Amino acid sequence: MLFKKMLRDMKINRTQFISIFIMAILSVLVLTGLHAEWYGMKVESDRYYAENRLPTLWMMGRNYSPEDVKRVEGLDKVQATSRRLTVDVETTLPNQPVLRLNVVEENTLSKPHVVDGDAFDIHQQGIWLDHTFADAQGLKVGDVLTIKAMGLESQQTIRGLIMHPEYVYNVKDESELLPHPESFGFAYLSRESLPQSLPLPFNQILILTESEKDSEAVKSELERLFTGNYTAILSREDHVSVAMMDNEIEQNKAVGEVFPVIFFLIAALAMLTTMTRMIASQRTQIGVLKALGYSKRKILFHYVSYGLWIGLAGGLIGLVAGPLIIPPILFTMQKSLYILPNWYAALSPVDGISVVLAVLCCGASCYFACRRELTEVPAAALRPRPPRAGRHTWLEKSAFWQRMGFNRQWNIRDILRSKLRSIMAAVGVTGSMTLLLCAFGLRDTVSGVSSRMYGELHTYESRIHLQEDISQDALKAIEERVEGQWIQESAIEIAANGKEKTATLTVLGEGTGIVYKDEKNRVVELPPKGIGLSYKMAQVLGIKMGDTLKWRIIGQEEWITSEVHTLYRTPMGQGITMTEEAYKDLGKTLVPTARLAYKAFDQEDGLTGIKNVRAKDDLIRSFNTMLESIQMMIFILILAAVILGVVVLYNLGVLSFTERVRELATLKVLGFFSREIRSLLRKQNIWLTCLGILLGIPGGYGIIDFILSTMSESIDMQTKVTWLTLVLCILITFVLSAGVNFMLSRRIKTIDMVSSLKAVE
Amino acid sequence: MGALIQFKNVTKEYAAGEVKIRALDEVSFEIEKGEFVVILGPSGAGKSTVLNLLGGMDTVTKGSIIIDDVDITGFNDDKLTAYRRNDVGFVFQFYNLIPTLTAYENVALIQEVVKNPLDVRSTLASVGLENRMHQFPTQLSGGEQQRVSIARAVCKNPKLLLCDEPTGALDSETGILILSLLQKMSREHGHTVVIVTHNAALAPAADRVIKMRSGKVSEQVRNPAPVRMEEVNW
Repeated sequence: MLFKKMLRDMKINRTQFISIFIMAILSVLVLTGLHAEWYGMKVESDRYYAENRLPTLWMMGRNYSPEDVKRVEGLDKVQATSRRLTVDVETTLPNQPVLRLNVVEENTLSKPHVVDGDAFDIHQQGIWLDHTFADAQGLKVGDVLTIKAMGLESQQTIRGLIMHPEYVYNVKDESELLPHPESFGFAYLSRESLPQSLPLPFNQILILTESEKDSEAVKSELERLFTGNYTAILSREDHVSVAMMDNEIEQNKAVGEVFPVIFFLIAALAMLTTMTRMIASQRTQIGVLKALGYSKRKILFHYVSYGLWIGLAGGLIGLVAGPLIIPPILFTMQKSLYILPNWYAALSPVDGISVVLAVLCCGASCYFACRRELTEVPAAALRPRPPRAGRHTWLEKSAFWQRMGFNRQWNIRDILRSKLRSIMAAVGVTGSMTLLLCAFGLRDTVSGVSSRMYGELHTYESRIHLQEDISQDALKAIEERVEGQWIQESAIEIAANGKEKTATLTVLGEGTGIVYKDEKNRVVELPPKGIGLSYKMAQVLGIKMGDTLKWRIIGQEEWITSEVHTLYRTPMGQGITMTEEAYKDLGKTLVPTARLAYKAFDQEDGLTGIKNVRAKDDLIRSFNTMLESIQMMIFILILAAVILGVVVLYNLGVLSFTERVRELATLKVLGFFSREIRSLLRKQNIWLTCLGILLGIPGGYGIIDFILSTMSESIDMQTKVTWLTLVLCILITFVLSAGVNFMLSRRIKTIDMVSSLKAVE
Repeated sequence: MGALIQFKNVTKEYAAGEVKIRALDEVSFEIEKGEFVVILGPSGAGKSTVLNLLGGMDTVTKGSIIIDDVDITGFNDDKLTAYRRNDVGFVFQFYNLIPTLTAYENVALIQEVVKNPLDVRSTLASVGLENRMHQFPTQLSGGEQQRVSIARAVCKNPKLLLCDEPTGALDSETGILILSLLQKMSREHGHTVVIVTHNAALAPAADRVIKMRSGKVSEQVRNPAPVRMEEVNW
């Protein structure tokens, strides 16, 4: 019988119940949706790495012999090893793309994943080609590809198209922001396809340790064992593709954890108030039930079940809908950057907990609301709760009070009388303001990186990357023909305060291609002696100006000790920067890896030794494409913030309206025009909205800061919100709030004076 | 120039679900300016409906209501509001004061809507509340709250003072006080007062008694020599 009562009560109070229902759905949906996205990517990439036996260490050198392999295998914790030749080769394809060719001794580690054609077999003739590269070049299985490798031109039949766990993020090196399948790809070639007479210099040993954790220990063993016989030893976190994927997952995780929590908090607060009011309105019925002889426990259970059912239904729908709706939207962008065999949303126990939380939230709010009413004796509960008294406030003692007029007096007292309702209204506004500001601000911040990086700091027009074996004559020719600045960029390791980090060394020749600024955005000059260190790297290492640190170029043995003379802030490329002069001071010469051209540079005839040219527009475009995946997520968040804002505000609005219907009817009878009453309510709404917005601004900034702090060590973003964005967020919040207020105040016209004033219930 | 209030064949129907309920059936009566009128009848006779129509809180189904030579039956929402605002004062059974405003502020509220209200302080004094002006409604007794409500209605200086069971929630002693206050107001300011009640004992104090039964006027009596409220035998 009580179940029937519950269903009817829900029908009568459907606005409130529907809004609680929506909030339960939304809060669980956003949480599980965002969660399932990154968790799915993590599960899949872990599975992919495990199945295809991605190494935990890569040792790069010149030519490793079977004896070298034996020595590696002799080490503790090493599970498997494999020799591989990896070399960049040219093809006869138009646009001269670079193809990274891999020849393996045996297919045991870092196995390719075939998506089309034959299974990869080292004993079969032919080439297995990167499928994105094949797509971009218009190649199919069965086509013949001509490659130029080791002074040898050979024709290879494409046997299959592949993906590879080392090329999830398919870029040539760190300097490339985005995969460019039209200019870079990879391929696996079977040993059989090459003349047996050709000696193969296996320049890599792939090592799988027993667990990823062991890789550091094994790495230092290798460094000791192979001193002078390696150029670099990479662990998974140093590997470009692996690191990019991990970064992406971490970023999504950070956003996916912060937003749902705010969502949950707001929804929980709103559910609490709604339920409290709902049950307060059932006061007399609780009295009746009590008088009829129902036990306290039974009544309590009855009302708690309202919340439990709604929470459970909403939570379960959210749990199912979240992973179905949100990940596919985000995956469309991710798919254009990352190459994984499968894309799916994955649920984790956390998602189940969120449903439990939603149920508990609803249940608990009912429980507390109901217990309050139950403490009264039935006789008292049968009578309606007396209206809450107005009180004189401290404000009235001030001289202003009498001059304030009825409108303000009424509003101030009304706000103070129903503090909870007023606070909730303000909190609802704060919540949507926070979410909006955070979402829009994040967009500003992220796109600010591109304008800071390529607008303020990197002032050159194009970047001409040089071949490693460029001749002195070719360098001279470029220096004469291209106005610009030499730059050397090398991968280094930095050690300080017991920490060791990989970073970038930038050595700059004479010129003005790059501007350096400190954290207060003042231009700084690089010192003629000592080094400049990037701000973020200094933070990570715990280093101040004037401290010393040790560093070395990867592949070289010599550790160099330098004093930090300058700190500069840069969004990307954390590490050490120094002038050619300071570099000379260390007894070294600048070996240019690129020339920064001050004017747009078109490939000219007669210049040799150029690897590729990147115009700044390309760099900016690449960067912006990368940001689109963030934009998508931001769009989802904005949408959710708007829905949440409307639901919370409408819900609270309905509550406060029904609570005050008698007062409003009185005003109507006294001859107040509807528009006057509306303006009265509007004023209160505006005050509370302003308060909510004021609180939401620091909230939004705080959350952006938090999200940025979880970003990877190589990226240094500064929270930046443009005035336009701030104004836009305030406007949207106002429109939401005013819109809800408008919808509600239309009801004033329909208040039936006769029945509202007749008697108390 | 007719009577101040003319009710002409007024019919009022409510739709309760699919059933139509006829609350008033061809009701006609007149009330002169300055009269103290009691509308008497058992519950459900349609007394309150008459009052609500008079006060512009509801609209008629058929017939016309003429107040001061103006037919208000055709008024739209705005005009009805303006009519309530300027011409009508209400006193309810449950007072309906704004709980967040003090007694003084509840009356001063009128200044927001009416151009020439009476002085708030002296109105409150005339109902005997000069010492409790700054209390909130919940701090006042039922009788005191009703007096605030009367002060609020009178302060408008309305053409019409409408009272719906003003003593319904009060004990008889307080009730008499309230009613004599209303009578006094009517005499002193020349207000036209209409009181709806089921208490037949009030009849001797009224200038005119309109008795109602089942939505119809069953009897109209003019009382040439009304007694003072205090002398009524309860």
